[in-house]
Amino acid sequence: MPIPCSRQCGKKAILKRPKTGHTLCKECFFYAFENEIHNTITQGKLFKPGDKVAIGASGGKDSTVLAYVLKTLNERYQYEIDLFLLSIDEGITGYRDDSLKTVQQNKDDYGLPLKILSYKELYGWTMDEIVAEIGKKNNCTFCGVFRRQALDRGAALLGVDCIATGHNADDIAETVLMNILRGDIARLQRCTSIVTAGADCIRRCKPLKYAYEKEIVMYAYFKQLVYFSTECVFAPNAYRGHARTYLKDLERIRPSSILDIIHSGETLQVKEGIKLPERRNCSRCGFVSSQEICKACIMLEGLNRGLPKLGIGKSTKVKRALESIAKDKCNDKCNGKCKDNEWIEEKDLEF
Amino acid sequence: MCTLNLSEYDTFEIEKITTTSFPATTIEAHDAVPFCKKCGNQETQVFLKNGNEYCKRCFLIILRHKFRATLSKSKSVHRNESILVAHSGKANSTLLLHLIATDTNESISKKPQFSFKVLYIDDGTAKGRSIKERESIQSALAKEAENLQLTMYILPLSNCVTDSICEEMQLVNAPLMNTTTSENTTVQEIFDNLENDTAKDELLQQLRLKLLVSAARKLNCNKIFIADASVDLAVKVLGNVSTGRGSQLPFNVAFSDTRYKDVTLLRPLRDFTRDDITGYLECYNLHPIFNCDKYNSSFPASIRNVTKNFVHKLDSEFHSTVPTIYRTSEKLDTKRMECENSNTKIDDNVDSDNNICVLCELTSNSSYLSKEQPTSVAQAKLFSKLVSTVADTSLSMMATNSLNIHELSSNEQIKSTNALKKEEHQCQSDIHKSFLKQSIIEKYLCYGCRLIFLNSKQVDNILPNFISNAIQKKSQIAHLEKEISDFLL
Ligand SMILES: [Zn+2]
Ligand SMILES: [Zn+2]
Ligand SMILES: [Zn+2]
Ligand SMILES: [Zn+2]
Ligand SMILES: [Zn+2]
Repeated sequence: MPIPCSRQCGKKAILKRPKTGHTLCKECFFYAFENEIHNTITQGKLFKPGDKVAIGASGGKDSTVLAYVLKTLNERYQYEIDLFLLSIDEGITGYRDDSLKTVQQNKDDYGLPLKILSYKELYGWTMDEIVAEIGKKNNCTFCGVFRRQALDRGAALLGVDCIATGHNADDIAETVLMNILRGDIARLQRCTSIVTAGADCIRRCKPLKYAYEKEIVMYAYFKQLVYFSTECVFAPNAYRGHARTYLKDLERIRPSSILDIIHSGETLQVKEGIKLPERRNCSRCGFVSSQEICKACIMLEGLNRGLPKLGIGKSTKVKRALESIAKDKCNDKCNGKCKDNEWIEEKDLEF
Repeated sequence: MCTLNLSEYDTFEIEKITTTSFPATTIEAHDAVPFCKKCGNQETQVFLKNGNEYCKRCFLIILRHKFRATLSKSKSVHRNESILVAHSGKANSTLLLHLIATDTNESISKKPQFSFKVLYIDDGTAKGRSIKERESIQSALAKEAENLQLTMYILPLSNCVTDSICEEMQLVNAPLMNTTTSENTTVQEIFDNLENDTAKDELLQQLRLKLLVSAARKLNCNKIFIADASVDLAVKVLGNVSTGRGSQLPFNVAFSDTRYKDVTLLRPLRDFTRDDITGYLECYNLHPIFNCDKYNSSFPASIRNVTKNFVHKLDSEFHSTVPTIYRTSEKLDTKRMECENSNTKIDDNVDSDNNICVLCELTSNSSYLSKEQPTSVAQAKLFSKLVSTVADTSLSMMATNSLNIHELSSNEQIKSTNALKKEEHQCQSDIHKSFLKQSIIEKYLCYGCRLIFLNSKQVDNILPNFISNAIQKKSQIAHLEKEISDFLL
């Protein structure tokens, strides 16, 4: 017996929404999925007419679906925003080729401009050059630290008003759990915000905040969107792996758990009188840092001075190096425009 | 090729955690001759996961100190107070009972400090236990009470469906209370109608708490001891967060829970580790009535059970996770936000009373939107339901205004409330059974409690009496308020 579409459109349902359990036909699913994102955008006032909006594009499913939906909604509801794709190329031979090819495909398919910024442009070094300098062992430290800032630096360079990232509900729920497990109350408080950053800086927003990963995959499947589907080749560390498994178990038992966890995050705040680690801006580059000089700047300084291990070693060495760097005048071309950006964001892009 | 995964960066951030973790085994052979860390005695018998080794005597002294320190630091218990101790029959409350019983016995020379009464809630009906099983549990409890010379009461869960909660408190050594079959059937029906194990488990927890507090009132105790150890608290933190009760953490896992005006819940074992508990029980050769493996699987597919497995696994791999989790919760508070459309002129007291969930008795604050938080899960869920069920496409345009969504849902509620009122006049007695629509449930329950009854097989006849009574009372008061609102200043 065919199950009717729960929107009573008269067609028969072809799927059961992972998020709500409702049975929908294909068209009604598109309608529901897109309108939920539209609702998030309008409720959250994510964009203003005339905004230059960069979509952090990795070629993965989240950013691919985000790009497609934003383009569709911008046309349908006249957001009047200037959308483009922004990708980061670390400069690792052979590594980024496939995902950049996907982004290129997105560009052609959706008619969105694409800007690829390389580490060379952002930092003056490619990852290959860094690896040659420091050896294979420590390159991941660089990669991670640089990657976190890359989107912000790129957006600043291009004079962007807002970066839209592909964080979905599953990512945010996982981050809430991880921050509780790590005892990071400052980030716990921030991680459910739909928009981060203050008035005079580049906003970061998450239009897919309430979208389920499973529905994103469904949407891509039924719309036949091309994305770079290789699962992350890197196994998450044991800790995050446990948290991820736990979240999957919860979702299986009660599908609303993902949203319920975000609800918990939204209704919590840090107790009055509890001190949070100070968030300040790196005195060199101006991006948010927990220290006087951010890790990226320390590492860059090390590379430029031929002391590549700087910033990887233990804290005393770093401290001494810091002092010596702090004495140097900032001669960076960096525009320090952003005052309150996330320096460390979980899963900046879905690489 | 780059081998970095973003999550690999976490290793820097959790370095502290992993380097301070210790092997998971509690008792193992040591090469060197161990010495008690406290007295220097060579007879070390207790080996803790944190690397400390003690002789039995010192270990027990330390635990006793820990217990007393927790209580005295908080200054929340006073001399000669009557305290009700909640006993579950599991390891943690078995320890707590033994601790307080032997504590009062040892200081017999001094004046007794507190008077303790113990309560066991018999939830066998909800968990599907046979009468025989329940009888044998009760006789084990009676024996325990006798050994420890404690006054122990037993209260069947079915009491929560009768209108007279705890009319007569039953001592544990009396024969099994002959609860009427109809009461038991009602309890069973309530649980059978719920959607899944999580809903059942959550309702059971809430009902147990209700009964516990009513019993405390009946027995003139204004303090209740709950035997939550640190690992239990960690499970509660994650369980609460995962069931949408994050904002309730300041009550549900705090040392002192003051949600009830006349009764305070205290958690004096909050600093006891799993090791402490096993060590203590081994030292005294105590055997909890419920050993974990045999009985705990009542609701195996519940969020609480999954969370418990998760936390226990983490606890054995990363030693500092449990304390980190529950200390994190201590730093968190319920977000207070000005409700944007609060246009009532009623004074704060009445108003806040209206926002109290009739089941868990905590503030229900699910739909607050603010400038800092322009979107919310509650709102997103509502919208999801709309776009998945309503064919009218104009809705999507309407939804661009948040007020409309809320109006839409509150209109629905008003309709149902009115219907409820009409029904009241017609047939007072039938009311709890026949007319409790989902939207009414939504109005009087908090976000977390609402999830319990969501998708239940039957909407009517699933609520225990006291809930429907409370809902009736509230809707009447709301009605009165409306009538006199013109004259309120
Ligand atoms: Zn349809
Ligand atoms: Zn790397
Ligand atoms: Zn910097
Ligand atoms: Zn000793
Ligand atoms: Zn509640």
